[in-house]
Amino acid sequence: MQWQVHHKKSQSAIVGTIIFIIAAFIIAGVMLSLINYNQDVLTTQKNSIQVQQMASLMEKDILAYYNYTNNKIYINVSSMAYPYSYYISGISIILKNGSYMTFDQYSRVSNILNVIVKYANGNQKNYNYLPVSMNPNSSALIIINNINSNPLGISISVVNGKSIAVIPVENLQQLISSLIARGVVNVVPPTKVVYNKYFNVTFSIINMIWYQGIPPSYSNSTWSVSMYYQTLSSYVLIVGIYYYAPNITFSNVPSGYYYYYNVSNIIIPGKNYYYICYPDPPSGIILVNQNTLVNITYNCYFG
Amino acid sequence: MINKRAVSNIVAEIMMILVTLAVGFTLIVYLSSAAGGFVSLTNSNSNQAQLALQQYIVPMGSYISNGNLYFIFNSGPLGVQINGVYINSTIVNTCSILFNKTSYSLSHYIPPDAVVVIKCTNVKPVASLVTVSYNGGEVYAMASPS
Repeated sequence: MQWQVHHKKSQSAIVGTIIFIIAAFIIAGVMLSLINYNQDVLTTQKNSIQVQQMASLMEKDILAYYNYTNNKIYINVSSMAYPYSYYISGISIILKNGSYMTFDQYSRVSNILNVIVKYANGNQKNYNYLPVSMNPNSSALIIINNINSNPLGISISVVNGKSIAVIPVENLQQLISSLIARGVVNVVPPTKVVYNKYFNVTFSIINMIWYQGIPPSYSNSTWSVSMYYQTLSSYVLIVGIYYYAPNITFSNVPSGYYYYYNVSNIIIPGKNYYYICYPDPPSGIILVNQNTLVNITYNCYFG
Repeated sequence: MINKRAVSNIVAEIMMILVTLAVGFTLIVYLSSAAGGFVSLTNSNSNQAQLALQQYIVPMGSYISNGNLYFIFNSGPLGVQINGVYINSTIVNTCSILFNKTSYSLSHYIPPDAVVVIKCTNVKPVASLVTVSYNGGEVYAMASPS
């Protein structure tokens, strides 16, 4: 009788063990699947955040402005602050007469569209279709011909992977007018990470508009750059028809992340002409932590 | 007799454990596969929903001219299904989509990276709030008379 009782207990223990093992396997199987699912969700979330960040960077760091003259629209696209490649994928133009024009990859070749891309190595390439590939430090001049009405609003769309941003194209004349009215240029730094104990600001003259064929002949435009409680100034030197861009270097800047800005007086040398510089690239963050010399370039316009 | 029984019990227990392990492994493979299939199906449905939600459009310009409202946008990296247009929170039925030199009625799917124009007729020449609804959500823009 006792033996029989013991036998039943043993069988009961075996059955319990079997149930326990099977339950463990079931739980393990479900857990594995849940882990995989969670990883998929996490990857999707990461991708979504990256797309948003990339679009935000493009909006901040790609600068575009236009000038309308002789029935042509000249759009300059500059992306010296944007450290990645991207595409110019679309153009939208609203004209004062109520009409509009659009260009995209579905428009195919257009007779009135001419995109001249200038690459960092100095090479140029012409396109008359979109999209156009842009490398870091390249710029593009977009010329649209046969425009019989003033533009009211222009914007371009730029693409990097799944990220799309729309860059409003500023009216160069209005930009110049607003800068003259303010007399101050505020500069926010580029996004690219700069390893630099010495911080060097270079002003580059890339274009000049002479008034009635006469070049500016004065040289007293002071540009000041402030960073880490230091303010340094320099001048645009004009000798005859030659222009020498100012250059400012900060030394012994402590390591760290910096927002820097530039406050510049716009001097009008004579009533017939003036000149203006404004920053390119327009925005970002700078990291100072090593001893490499870095140039930040500003574009200066003369008119 | 007793010895034979004892041996038989041990063998039986070993066999039971082996059978349990075999059943367990079969179960884990089956469950993993079944749950994987379920997760995959869920993921697929979820991905489709997420893809639809990830549709986004970027406005490029909007204005009103000669009684027509124009809303220009880029269709984004995934393309976009445009469902409806509201002007000052009122749905408008006079809108069409102009894409690649062809006019389409709403609702309509636009392929990726296209610059597209929505044109609505019989619009009052006053500054208006335009709302465009699409599978990924809504986007707003102000349209003023040019």
